[in-house]
Amino acid sequence: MTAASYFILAALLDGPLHGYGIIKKAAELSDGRVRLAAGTLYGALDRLAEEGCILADRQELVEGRVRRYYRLTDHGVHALHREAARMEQAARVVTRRSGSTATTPRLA
Amino acid sequence: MSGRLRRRYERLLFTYPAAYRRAHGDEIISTLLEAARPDQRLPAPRETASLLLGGLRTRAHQAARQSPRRLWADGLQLGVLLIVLVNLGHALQTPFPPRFPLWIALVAVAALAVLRGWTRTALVVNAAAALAAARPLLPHVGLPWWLPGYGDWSAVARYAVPVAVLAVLAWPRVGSLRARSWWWLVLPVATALPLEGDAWALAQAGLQVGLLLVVLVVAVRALDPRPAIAAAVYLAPGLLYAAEESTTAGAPSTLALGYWAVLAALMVALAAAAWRIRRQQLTQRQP
Repeated sequence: MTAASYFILAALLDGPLHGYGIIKKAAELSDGRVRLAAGTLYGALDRLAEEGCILADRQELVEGRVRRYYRLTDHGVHALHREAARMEQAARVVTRRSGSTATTPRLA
Repeated sequence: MSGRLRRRYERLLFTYPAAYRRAHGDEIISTLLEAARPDQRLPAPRETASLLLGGLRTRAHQAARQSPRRLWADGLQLGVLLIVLVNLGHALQTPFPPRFPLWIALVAVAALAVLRGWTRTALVVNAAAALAAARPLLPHVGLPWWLPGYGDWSAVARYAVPVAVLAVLAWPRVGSLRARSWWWLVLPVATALPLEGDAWALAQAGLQVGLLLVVLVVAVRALDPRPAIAAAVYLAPGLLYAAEESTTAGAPSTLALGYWAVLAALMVALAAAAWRIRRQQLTQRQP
């Protein structure tokens, strides 16, 4: 799963969002590291919808602008948690070791 | 105020397939406008790059679901289309009123048939154009009054290669042509612009190589083999001509040799890219 897909799914954990809502939430969740451009966002949304991770929820017209909301499916929630667990495990490989080296006494 | 920005973003969606634009265009534009600064008038560079590549990726993604035969047919048609449109541009490069209106009409119909996807008509009319172009070089055949006297094989190669490719495409089981956008007609108009001189010729050659490199990079990034196939077809007449030239006309200049070496290397790279992309598509399709 790409970083963009991961943060898009994570952005939808609290409920359905529309395109710009996802961009803002993904930036917030990633401390500004994931700045989704529209072409990237909609490419990722297409793929995630195809994989059954998200669904188009409803459509609104606000000030002449079309807003389509997307929501996570059960499959999407599952895929996101699986990815998070995988990354946690991958991170532990390093964090456990650096922790141990920090506490290892140096030989004189 | 945002009307201008909206129109500019709408124009940038041209790389997306038309059906996709109709289904998602408004939504994407709305998102872009929401993300824009209140006083913004020009599309943001990173959004521009993302839209151009996103459109090509969407096309490639849809293409990946088609059969390899369809992809080859599309790539070959695109290559032939480029050649016949440039041919039309060259034919139009005559002072007004043109001396050979019938020839221009023949080349125009040949290009139109490929553009609109009339497979059999395209084959017949392009074969007629190729024969007409080759006529001054055939022994014991006079030049009819309605034909310009092309005296070298470069012109013949530019008309013969489309016929060879169209003959393959007209084969019932290979896959027929599809109708293409009228926007392609911008190409012959641009080619026919009355600009001349060595600097312009060099600029054109540089532009050609530059464009091919861009096509190569974009095709590989978007995983689409069709631009690479098309570019390889487009280069074929020039390479055929160069091969023929080097065997008959003695030593060509170093500059010409270098140029053709670059084009030949590009063509090999394009073919390799098309092959690699297809393999990647096939592995991605397996779960």
